[in-house]
Amino acid sequence: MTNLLGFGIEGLDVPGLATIARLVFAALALFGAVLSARRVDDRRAGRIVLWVGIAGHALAWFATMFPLANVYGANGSMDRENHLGWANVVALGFSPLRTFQVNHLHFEPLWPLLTAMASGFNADRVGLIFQWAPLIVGLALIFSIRFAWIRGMDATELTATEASFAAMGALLLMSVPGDFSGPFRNPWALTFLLKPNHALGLVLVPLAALALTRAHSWKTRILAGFVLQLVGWAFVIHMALFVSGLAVFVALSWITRQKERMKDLVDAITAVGVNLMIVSPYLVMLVVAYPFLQGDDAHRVSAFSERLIEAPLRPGALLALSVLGAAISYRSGGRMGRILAAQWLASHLAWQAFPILGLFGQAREQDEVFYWCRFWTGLFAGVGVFRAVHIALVRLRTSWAAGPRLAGVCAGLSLTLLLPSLLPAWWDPSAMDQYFVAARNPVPDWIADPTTFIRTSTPREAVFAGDRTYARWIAAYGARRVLLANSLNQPGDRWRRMDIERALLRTGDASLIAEGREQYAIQYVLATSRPLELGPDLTLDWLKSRPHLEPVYDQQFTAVRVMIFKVRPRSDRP
Amino acid sequence: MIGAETLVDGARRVATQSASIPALRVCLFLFALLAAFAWLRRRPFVSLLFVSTGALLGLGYWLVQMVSPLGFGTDAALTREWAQAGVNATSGSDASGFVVGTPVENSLVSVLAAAEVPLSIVHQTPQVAAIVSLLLLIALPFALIRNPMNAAFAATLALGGGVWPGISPYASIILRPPLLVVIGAAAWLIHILVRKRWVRRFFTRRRAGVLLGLIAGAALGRAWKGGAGADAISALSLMAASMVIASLLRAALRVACSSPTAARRAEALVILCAFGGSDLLWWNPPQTMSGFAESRDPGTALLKPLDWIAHNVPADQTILASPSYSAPIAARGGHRVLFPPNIDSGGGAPLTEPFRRARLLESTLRGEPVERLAESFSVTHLFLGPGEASPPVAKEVRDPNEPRLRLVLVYQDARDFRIFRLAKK
Repeated sequence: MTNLLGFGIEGLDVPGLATIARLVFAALALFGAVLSARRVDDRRAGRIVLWVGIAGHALAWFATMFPLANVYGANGSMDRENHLGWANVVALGFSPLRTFQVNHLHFEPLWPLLTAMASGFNADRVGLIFQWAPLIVGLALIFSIRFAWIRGMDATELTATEASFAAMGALLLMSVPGDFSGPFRNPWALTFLLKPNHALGLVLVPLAALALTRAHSWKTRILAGFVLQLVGWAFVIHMALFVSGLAVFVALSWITRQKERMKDLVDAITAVGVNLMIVSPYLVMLVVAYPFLQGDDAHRVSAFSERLIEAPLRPGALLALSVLGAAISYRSGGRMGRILAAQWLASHLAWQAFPILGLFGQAREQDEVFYWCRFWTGLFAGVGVFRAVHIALVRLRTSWAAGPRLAGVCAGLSLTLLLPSLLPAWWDPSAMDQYFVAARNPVPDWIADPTTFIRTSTPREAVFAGDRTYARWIAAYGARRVLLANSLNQPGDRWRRMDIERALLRTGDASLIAEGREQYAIQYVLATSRPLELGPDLTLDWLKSRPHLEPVYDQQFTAVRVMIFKVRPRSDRP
Repeated sequence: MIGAETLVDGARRVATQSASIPALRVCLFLFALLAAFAWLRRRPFVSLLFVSTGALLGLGYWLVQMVSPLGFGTDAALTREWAQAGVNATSGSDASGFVVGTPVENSLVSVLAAAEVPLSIVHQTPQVAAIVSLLLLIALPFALIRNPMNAAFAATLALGGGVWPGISPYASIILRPPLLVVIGAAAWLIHILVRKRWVRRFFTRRRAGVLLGLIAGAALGRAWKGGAGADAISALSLMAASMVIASLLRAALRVACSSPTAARRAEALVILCAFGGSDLLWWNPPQTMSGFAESRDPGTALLKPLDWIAHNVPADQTILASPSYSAPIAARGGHRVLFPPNIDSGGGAPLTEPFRRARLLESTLRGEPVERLAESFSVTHLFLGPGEASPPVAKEVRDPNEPRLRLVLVYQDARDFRIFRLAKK
């Protein structure tokens, strides 16, 4: 057995690997702390903290991804398998604006396009790209935050180190050890490992904030709107949350009577307006393809649950430090500081709004808001620790207070204080991550074998109908499109598709089958011995007897029997 | 006493409903809020009282659910300890190992049982250890820190696990109660040492170094051990670091804040956040602690035949049973067994005379136990569980030179647990 990187993992000591990764990180962080305390200036201390953050993310990524025989999330996450399917079909050369349900509009088109491009439009390389993506996106986040912080904040003698702590905090302080037992599990793993496409939105957010900070003319305001719409294409929820943060930014600006309050208002409205104009076709696609305005019972939240305190309080004292970090940034960070601190406040307000939204059955995407809230809490907790140590050293008039080593000493002390809370120091995927445990196992034979047949023996443009539950595996592991899939939202023309499906599986209506072939490119039907949606009376043997279906694959596995039929054109029928 | 037992049973019934977990968490959060408010109103000891009550409630909620010895049947080492304790409780301090013919295995619970502490109390050792550790954490800062305000602040921080979120020592102490003895001894030693002037002077000068050393050690320890929860040493190191930080933090806040009221506000916020993120508030041992879910099961069906054994079989007699039942018979029935439990990972002493033991089992299951072997191991009863076939009635003596015993059914219940007495023909 090998992992996707090509290394043999048979008999690998997985707990041992995780232990080594944790110990190496702890040793590196302590070495970095000692080194920082010896260095003299802010710039060097900032670089050391940055490298500790990079090493931490890379080590945690390595300890999780290296032992996996499959893509992270395989065997356990429907969401991840959907993404794999989306990327596969784009890698085959189909439109990124469509999902693997043929002709179905997509609401997250950017990520499949990027991964397909990274794979060189080769579906066989998409899995490998998915394994590397969490590392790359995590590192991109670190650099993006540091870049935006240094260029956007009012410069002080501590800016570079503070920027590194903000970047490291956003990445490695967003989770606490007990998160895995909560309803939203570990935010770092769920954001970066499972959904790096969402994390891409986080990478763009600091750049959007920087663009808005620098906006001073119509041209730069439009540029800010343009950067903001990129967030929307990456992950629309992050765009919506960022816009809500801008509303808080403007409100605070007026409440605290900032000198620039009118400029803040005009800049924010212009940027959001431009963003909405550019992204409006996408929003229309979203409304058409994703019926999110209808409330339902699945999205109700009890007003008497602990949900309200879950996001802010689980990080414990890190929350107090993030309050400090946000307050200092708001006061002394200039416009960028005010924008980012407002995002922190807005994220917590958004979280507190869920019980009210829950009354209308609209408490949707709680996990995403939870991770958003933790992202800002972690970012400002990193800043808060550094600032708290700085204040303590200066106010207690220690020997370092007036010396040139102040930034380095503060960085060293802060790194040590934070070490027990930094994710790579306690991350144990075997005990804390169910997706890791699931992806360690091979894909079940009744999925692996038929999808290998599909990938190798059917034309790339072929579309499959039949078992709607199996459909996502056809896309994820077989790299082919399907007519209908239970794992995705139903397309607008679902009734017509169901008619065609009924014709293929039950009635044999020639005109509908021909329509399926012409309009949806249906060439194959996949069915299993499990009951189909169209009725339990549809058995595999009955399908075998249909004149328009030609069996091309038939395999009995321990769990289930799987058959693949080729849809015969009318002229080929016996 | 009956009233108290009814109260505990009632509390257990409420606590075992998973719907009560959010209620517990909201309750603990309210205690944290009250503690923060009391601190703000210059009532440090009232604040500590609120946090202590919350901590006791948070810990007690889970402890009261444990009705079987923790780790029994799920952890090899703990299973052996409980089995030895059961045998010691009936045989006293001169008992041999719970597997006949092996040396005694000493542990805290087996020593307590040998000292004639009632077995029902010995089974509560993990719970008692957790509560005592909680009380120790309340008292320790007052023994180590001279300023009572600083001590109260340190105690409120330490109770929930300190300023590092999601880390506390309670789970480790529950699984390894002897740690409490080590912790108590260390605390006593530190208490003695801090009276010495040179130690105080050294600590005052090197406080930052001690703090950083504790944190670095804890982080490395946690990295080494891994797992879902923190190990006791790392968690206690971080608690000790929290106590050191408490005084430093208060001093820093006093100079950093514009007024004493602002400093108190900041301290109150720290108390609220530290307890709000504590492992006690978010602890969920059925998910995070190995063996906890099993300890909620009283095992009523198996207890009936074991009670029969405890009351009807003399303490010095050995029970023959399959390895699946070895540990329960020793731990709950108080009798030695012929074979080590099948959960055993080779932690016990090597088994002597394995072939003679196997032959006795084989002959007994055939319905004609070899008398000299039974006498040699003091085996007087055979225990069979559901699904295990009853021995046939032996009709003829195969070897007249080797006397055999007969099996007399002395206990049988609706769950098909059976006990046979090995009687002379």
